[in-house]
Amino acid sequence: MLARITAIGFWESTLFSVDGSIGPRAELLPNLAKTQRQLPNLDAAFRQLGLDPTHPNYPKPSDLKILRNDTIAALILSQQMRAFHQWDAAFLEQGALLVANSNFIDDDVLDFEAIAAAVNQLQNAQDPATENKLFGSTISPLLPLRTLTNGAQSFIAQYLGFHGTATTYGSTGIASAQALRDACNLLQIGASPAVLVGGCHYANLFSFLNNCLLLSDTKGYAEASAASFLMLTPYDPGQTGPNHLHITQFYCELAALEGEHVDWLFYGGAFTPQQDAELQARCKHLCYREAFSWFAHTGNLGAAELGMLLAASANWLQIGQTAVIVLQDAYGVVELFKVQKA
Amino acid sequence: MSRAKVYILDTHTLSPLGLGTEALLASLQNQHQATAPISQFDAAGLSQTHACEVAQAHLAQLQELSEAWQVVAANDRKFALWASVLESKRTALQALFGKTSKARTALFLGLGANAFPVQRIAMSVADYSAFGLNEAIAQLNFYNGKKANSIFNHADLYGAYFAQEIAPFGFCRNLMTACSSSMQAIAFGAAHIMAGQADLVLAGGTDSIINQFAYISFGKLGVLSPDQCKPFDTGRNGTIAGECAGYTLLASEKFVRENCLQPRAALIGFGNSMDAYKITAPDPSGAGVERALRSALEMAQLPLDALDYINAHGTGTRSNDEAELRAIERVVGAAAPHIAVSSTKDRHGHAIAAAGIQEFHVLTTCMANDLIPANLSCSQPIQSSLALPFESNQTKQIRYALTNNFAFGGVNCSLALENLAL
Repeated sequence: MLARITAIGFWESTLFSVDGSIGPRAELLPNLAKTQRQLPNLDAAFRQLGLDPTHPNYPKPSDLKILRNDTIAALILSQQMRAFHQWDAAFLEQGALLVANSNFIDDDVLDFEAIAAAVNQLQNAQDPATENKLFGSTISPLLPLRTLTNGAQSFIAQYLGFHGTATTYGSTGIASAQALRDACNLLQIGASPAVLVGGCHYANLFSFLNNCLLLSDTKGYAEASAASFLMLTPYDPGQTGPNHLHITQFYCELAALEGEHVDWLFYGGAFTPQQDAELQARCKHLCYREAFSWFAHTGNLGAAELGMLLAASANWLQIGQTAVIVLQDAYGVVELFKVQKA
Repeated sequence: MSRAKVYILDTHTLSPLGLGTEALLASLQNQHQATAPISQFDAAGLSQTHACEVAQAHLAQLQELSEAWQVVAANDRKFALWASVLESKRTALQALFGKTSKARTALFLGLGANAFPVQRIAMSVADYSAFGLNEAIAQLNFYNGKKANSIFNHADLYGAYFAQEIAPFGFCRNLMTACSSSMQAIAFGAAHIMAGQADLVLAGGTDSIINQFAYISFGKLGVLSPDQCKPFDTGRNGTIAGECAGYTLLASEKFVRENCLQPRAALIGFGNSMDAYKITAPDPSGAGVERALRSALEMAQLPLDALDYINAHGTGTRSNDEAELRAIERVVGAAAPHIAVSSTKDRHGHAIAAAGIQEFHVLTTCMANDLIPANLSCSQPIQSSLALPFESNQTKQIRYALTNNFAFGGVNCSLALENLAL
């Protein structure tokens, strides 16, 4: 056993939980998000989070100027998990915080209309100095902070009081699995007593531009904005708790699953139904009884997908049962590991 | 609790101070400062028109790449630097990665954010005038031939390039904590070996903010000096932009022993911390910096008076330098007068996400050559009990040393190194 997952929380559109509860698989709804034309011949369905500015954990107004929507969701969720699980200040201060982001650009930053205006100005400029001046006038001084890659990590540290090791992983769905593996390393070498591993994703045109052109077929493309977190502690056989999972082993490639027998396969990272089916087919080396992917219910969840898959594992595995979690990035690279219900 | 020792086999960078260790050493010894007028775009009218750039001659090997990679390199300077530095050591890297199984190797990369190639987009809007801007960008982004977009790419691209063109590896991490990215990549790469998860790790990164979009953005933040970067000077008024790509090769004791290698240095500790103060400014008390330094020294199990040199973050900004010096003073206490501290950012610029690997290479080069680099641009130093060398480099054996990097958002990282040749 490498580590123990003692808490899971997630937020995706209509799905929200601070204790990792999902409910029966049969009651999960299909993805009803409307497919819309994004680019010529390219359609996509995006699901968004309903952020409520009156929420008691909504960020301070002074911070909102430089907060992306995915970061706001991560902040609200992590604060609610802290309250629910009663993580005290000393525990968080010593703990590590590893956050994965799969999109650092939100719609307010990648405002194509504003860029178009800037581009037009550049074309009208008579000389480089005028061009720089005109272009500069269109860039907000807050832009570098709003696109700060470690924005989510830094705000969560500030709001929850993390003072220890912290970093940010990017920039696809497998980034959170990378964070999980490093979290196990930190626990193993004693560099941190506990690690909050998180992921947040903003589904928008920028994400679509990054991903869709890598696909041979974009039919049924779907993404969802989401956030998820899990608390990881060292393996302790004496510890008990509802919905706890043990991380038992990491693998470096799908072929390493040859001959492995588990109860479940949980997989994710697809952007289209075809890719989802192909990914399950790629796991042919593994012997399993049931398989699950969030894709049909939500679309691609980016860096938040790991927490959602682990929540499903924690809910649906019986005590002692095992599962392999497989995440794939836009380039077809996979991260995979095995868990066991504690 | 067991911690494996992490050996440093080789470090290699492409920076404004040259390609490789020999060029870097010559530049450090000659006290060269690479600041020059910007060549990558016309900076006329901006408050800062200079930067530290990599010489274009070092990018010549890009012409050997496939057309698809060349398209990416033309739009993404940090990718161009990354491909160039790898190509310059392709044979050596392939040989080294061939010495162990793929599953026991990993890449830990510190990367900067995507830059918008505004002028390229502007030209294409004219080319695709029949479309709207979204369509123009989509057209421009597409390149049919490789699994890579032309403009906007995920951070995973840099590992994908290594896997496709250099050697397969077991795992890759992309760490994106702005100015501390590549130093954290080295720290987490070391943790991977300490935890027994790998025998060979390539850790480093690449970044450049020398483009119109980023330069105007950073200029507006007020962090770029309008004249000269002067770390630790009371008259300091900002940093100077730089760029770099590079890596260090970290190995387990098992790998070193099995391949009869004789590394000259080891990474013996690292410390990470968060200010958790404000995203827009570092904690002026330097408490977070202090925690990172203490953690690195604790892991290294180093007595304070054993420390010979600290290569500081030393950006030359008002907010960083004094807080960093005070934090170091509090940590080392009475040993302060014996510990040399300097920043070399006024020589090579601030390479943002690649600052960590750049300064790591500076440190390993200095350790191997008994060189303490001077704070060249500091004429009116901040008062400090530490030994800040000025005007000219000093000669001194460095057995134990630290290197620091800190980032926007309050991320602090410190690494402790041991010179195994002494």
